[in-house]
Amino acid sequence: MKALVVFAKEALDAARDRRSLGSALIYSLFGPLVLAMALGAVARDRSEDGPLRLAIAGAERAPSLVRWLEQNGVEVVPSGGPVALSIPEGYAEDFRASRPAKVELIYDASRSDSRGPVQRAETLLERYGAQVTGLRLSARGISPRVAQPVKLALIDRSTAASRAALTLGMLPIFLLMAAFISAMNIAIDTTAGERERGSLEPLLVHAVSRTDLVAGKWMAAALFNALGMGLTLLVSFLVLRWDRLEELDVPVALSPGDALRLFVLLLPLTLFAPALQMLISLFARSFKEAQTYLSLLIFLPVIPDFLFSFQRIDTEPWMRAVPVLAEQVLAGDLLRGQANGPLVHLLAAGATLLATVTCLAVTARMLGHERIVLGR
Amino acid sequence: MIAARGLQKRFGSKVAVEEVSFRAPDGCVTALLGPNGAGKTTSLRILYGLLRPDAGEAVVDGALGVLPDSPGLYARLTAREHLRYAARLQGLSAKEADGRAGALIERLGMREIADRPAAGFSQGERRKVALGRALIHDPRNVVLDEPTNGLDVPATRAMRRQVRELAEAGKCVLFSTHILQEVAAVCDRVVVLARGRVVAEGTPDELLQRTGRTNLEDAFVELIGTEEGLGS
Repeated sequence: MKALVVFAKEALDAARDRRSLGSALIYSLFGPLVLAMALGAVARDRSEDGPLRLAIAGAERAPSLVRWLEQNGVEVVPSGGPVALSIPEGYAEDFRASRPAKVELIYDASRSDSRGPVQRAETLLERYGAQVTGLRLSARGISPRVAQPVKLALIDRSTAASRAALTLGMLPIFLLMAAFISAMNIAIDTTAGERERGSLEPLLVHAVSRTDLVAGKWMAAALFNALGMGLTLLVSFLVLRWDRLEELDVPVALSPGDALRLFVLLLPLTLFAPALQMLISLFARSFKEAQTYLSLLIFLPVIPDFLFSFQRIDTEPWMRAVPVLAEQVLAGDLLRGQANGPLVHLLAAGATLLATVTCLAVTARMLGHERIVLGR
Repeated sequence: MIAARGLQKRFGSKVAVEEVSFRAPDGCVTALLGPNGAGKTTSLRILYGLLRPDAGEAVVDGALGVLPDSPGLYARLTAREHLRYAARLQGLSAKEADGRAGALIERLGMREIADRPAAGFSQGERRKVALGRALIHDPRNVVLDEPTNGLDVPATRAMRRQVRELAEAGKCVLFSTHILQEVAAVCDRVVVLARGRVVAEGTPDELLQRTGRTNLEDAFVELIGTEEGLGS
């Protein structure tokens, strides 16, 4: 089988291409790295539930307010912190006269770490105000309840766990992107690159069928692609086992079994991507042009996710039979712990493999076209 | 033996080959001489099956080895790996491939570059590897497209010697060139091509007689009708 001869040569050639391998490696570590940073942020949020640190300017003008804040878990610091309280001149006078006494909460809304503290400071100040209102109304013989027609209670159900789950939702995207990145250079090099360096013509004059050529090249690209995606998955798996997450009680679990299921689920996609990439590269006029097209193709797996996040679209049955989309939906289901039957998985794998064979068949046919071979 | 019968090929509205018929017998070197753009490469590409002619047919009896226009090597493979790959693609076993590759490395004087990656090869070294690849399955017929193009003097002389040796070993050798000198130095027969047509065919002596010239260069220029696109 001459396809194996072509495969052996292309695999050897690709293994020696250090630069392409290096960039594929960096890409496959990129996703897990982002995942680690996001989970680190969740863990940090969790560890920030301590006292609110607040710098207060003009504290001497409102001793009772400051005391009350201190009693309610605020740590008054000389300076720094994402939010500061300023008590202007005239506060004491207004307060005594029962006029609205102005206090200023100073923060930078563009700092993402200011949101929580500002909210906490605001809530505290409102509570203080309500308390003073109650005292003043009581002094005038009115029940404080009259001034509170509605009692609002905010119950935030988001937990560190649900935030971590949201973060884990990024994993399928990174894996799908890895499947479109890892073998990109090999797919180009064996098609558009082969033509550009003038080695396609000598190759075609050998007594070897175009089917064997395409099959061998694709096998090499698919091998590297599966390795790249597997590496991304492995590193992600290790990141999720990070001790600190467990210490902080951020429960993100990816069991070895689930990781393996995820790999098997995405395997057809790692076979499909290089087939599609080779076909597209063959139509490109040069290596560079092919690179441009395929860089855009990397975003293909991101598009459905992007649409989903803007508009709540329920997954429909047909989505599980569309290559790329199916893998994404099924990977999401798997991570959320929703089991799909074997038939659903077979349907998805079948659709993706059918698309793969179609791409390969068209590529082999294209190699028989003079325009494609000569690159005109 | 290689024969072309009434070949015709157009790309869009541009006619590349209008009427090309000739015969290249075994045991001799046949040159396809013509200025750049005369249709040499297109004719050869039809002969080795890369292009389909719009009309006419190409006949090659037996295995064919091809040295195309561009050597087209893989930068990360060594000379030996190129030869082995070609041998395996031609259907030789791994053992036969090793043997043939080793023999051609000796015969073409590639011992020094045999196990170096092709990235650093000179033009002459590249052409040697490409020639080795063309001869890997010991074909009866060999087609070479401008084999000395871009080579320095020693490499050109070595290539011409190889071409002669092939013919002396009884093979049918067809090579294209636009260099007048080369024809006198290497070939037994000449097919003169101009504007997609064969304008003359025969031994150098026959062509001298036909034009009534004493000098081969003058004879070619007269047959082709212009000096443009030729080299000496």
